[in-house]
This record gives sequence, structure tokens and C-alpha cells, in this order.
Amino acid sequence: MNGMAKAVHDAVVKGMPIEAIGTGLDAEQRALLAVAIPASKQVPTVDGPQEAWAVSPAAVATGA
Amino acid sequence: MPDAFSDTVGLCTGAYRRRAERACRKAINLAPPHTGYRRRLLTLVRGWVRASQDAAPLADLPALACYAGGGYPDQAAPIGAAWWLMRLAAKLLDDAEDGDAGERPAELVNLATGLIFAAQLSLDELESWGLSSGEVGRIGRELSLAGLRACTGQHADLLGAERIDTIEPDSWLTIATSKSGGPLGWATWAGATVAGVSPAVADHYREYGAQLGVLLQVADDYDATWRPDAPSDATMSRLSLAGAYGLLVAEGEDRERLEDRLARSRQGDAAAGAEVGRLLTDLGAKVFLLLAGRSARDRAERALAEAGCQGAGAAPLLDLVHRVFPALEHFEG
Repeated sequence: MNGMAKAVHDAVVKGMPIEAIGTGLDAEQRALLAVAIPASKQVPTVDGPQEAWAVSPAAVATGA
Repeated sequence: MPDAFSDTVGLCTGAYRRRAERACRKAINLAPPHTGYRRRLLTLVRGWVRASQDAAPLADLPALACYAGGGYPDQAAPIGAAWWLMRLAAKLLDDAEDGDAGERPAELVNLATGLIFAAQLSLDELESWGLSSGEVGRIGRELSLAGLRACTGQHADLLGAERIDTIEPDSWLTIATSKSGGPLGWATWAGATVAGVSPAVADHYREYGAQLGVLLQVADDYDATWRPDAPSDATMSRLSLAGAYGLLVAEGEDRERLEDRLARSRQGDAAAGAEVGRLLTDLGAKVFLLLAGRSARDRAERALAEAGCQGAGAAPLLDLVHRVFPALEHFEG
């Protein structure tokens, strides 16, 4: 995951093209990165109700 | 996705829950009656079962895996009893380790220890379902191994909290896999095993549970970082995947600012905690956590497919991995 972390930072923050990053990632990681880069534009940068949480993980875990 | 906890499965898990609760009581009643210890354990378990009876997919995990493997959910009741007792023990110990045990932490630790032994005893009930003593012993041994893995992960977590800036995403993932993946992997492996699947297929169910455990940890971490008011086991004062990511990729002034705000947040500074969330967002941490969650979810789904699990049996387990981390809807495609 360390390699993926650096690849995400290069792509999302530095804006590097996907072809130029992610050397050393395996095929599964490359496929995920290919989904992540365009999808990152959909991820809210402001926290709040638009996060669309239907249920919290803690509630799933405990049944609360 | 279909509704996982449909009427059909719900009716089946009703019998599972009743039998699992009975198996819990039977195991605890083997404790001597004096000193009130046994009564305290029974009260704790009754409260735990009540709290989780409305909508607790994780409490039903062994039954869902058993159903998916072609068995009747209530066949997994002794597994469910051991699973509940171990989870309750883990919660009590976690509270004691976090300083949330009230005025009598030593009593809580002793109650949790008793629950761990009762969990092992509850598996004896499997023999009434036709399993040999050798098979029951193997399931108990795997439970002990999963418990040891969880304790190893917790040990690393507790030590890591003292040197939080040295933990990288890889280390965080190893800890999460041990702490959460081990026990959840046992619950699904054991549920499928009592359904009679082959050892190779049972291992795929174990992988499903392990990845579900990692997914829960990632989702909890996401919640703790960006929704600090939400119910969560994680806090910014402990190891976090988002923090590990931020400290790995941040450079120069960004890193100094992040280290400073993380330190202040750990001292209880709420404003610093909110700023940590913003800094991490700017560094791309949300995208990274969503990607880590998506990876775990994909692996869980793949494990079910490799187990040959499909149709109505697979639906509750597939639904569960989709309910755990709703923010992953940003990553569909």
C-alpha cells in the first residue's frame, strides 16, 4: 500500500498523468488506480452531509 | 443489490440467534455458582444479545457463511455463541486498554478472560450436530489461532500509538489484517466448515471474512478522520491509515504542519483535529482510503466467487460488504 499511497499522491495532488506514475504497482493496483483517478473528482473535498453516509461502520459492527 | 437480510434469511437467523444464546448460557453455567461471577457473565451476555438483536449483520456472520455454504443457519449456532463471547471479551478488553472501563477495570479484565474460556466451551455443542470430536477440536484450535493473531495486531497497535509518526500504510494494513481480519476470517471459515464445504472452499470463506475485517477498519478510520462526531472505535489519538498516508507523502512545510496538528489533536485539541482532516483531504487521503476500501471489497467479492458462492446464498454476504462503507459509492465503476 505504500506504493499505492505515493501513486495516489502523485496523481491526485501533483496531477501527474497515470502513465508517468505507479511503476512497481501490480496489475490489481494499476486497475484500481485507473478507477481512482477519474473517481477522485467525485470525492467531496468539503466534509458534511454530502458524504452520503447511509450507515456508520460502527453501527454495522454492533447493530447499534 | 438485493436486500441481504430478507425475510427468508431473517427467519433462519432467528433460530440461529436463539440457539446461539442458549449455547452461550450453557457454557457460562459451567462456572461455579458462588461469588456472583457466573451471574455477572450471564447479565453481560444478555445485554450484548439484546443490543445486537435488531440489526447486527456481524453477529450473524457465521450463520450467513453457513447458509452460503449450503447449510442451515442454525447449524452454526455453537460457532455463533463462541463468536459472540469472543467479541464481547474483546470489547471489554478494548475498553480496559483504552481507559474506558470505569472504576473497576480489573473486574472487567477478569470477566473478559472468563468469556474467552466460555467461548471455547460453547464449541462442544457442535458434537450434537454430528461433528466428530476431532473436527470440533480443529475448529477450537483455529479460534485460538485467530485470537492470537488479533492479540498480536493489538500489541502492535498499542506500541505503535507511542511512535505514531513511524507507522506507514503497509504497517497499518498488517495490523488491521491481524486485529480484525483474523477473527472475522475465523467466523466465516467456521460457519462454512460446519455447512460441510471442503477445506479449500472454506479457506475462500476465510479470505472473505478477513477482507471484510480490513474493510471495516478502513471505514472506521475514514469515519474517525472526517466524521469525528460519528460512532467509531478509532480516534485520531491512535494509529490511523489516513495519518499514516499523510505522513508518508507530505513533504516540507506540509509535513511539519501535519505533525504539529496531529500532536495537538492527540492532546485533545478539537480545532487541530478538524484541521488534520482538512490537511489530509488536501493531500489526497480520502481518495487513498476509498481506494484501500475498494481493494478490500473487491478481494472479498472475489473470494466468494472463488468459493463458488452465488445466488441467494451469496446475496447476504455480498450485501454486507456493500453496506460497510457507503462512501465507496464515489468509486463505482
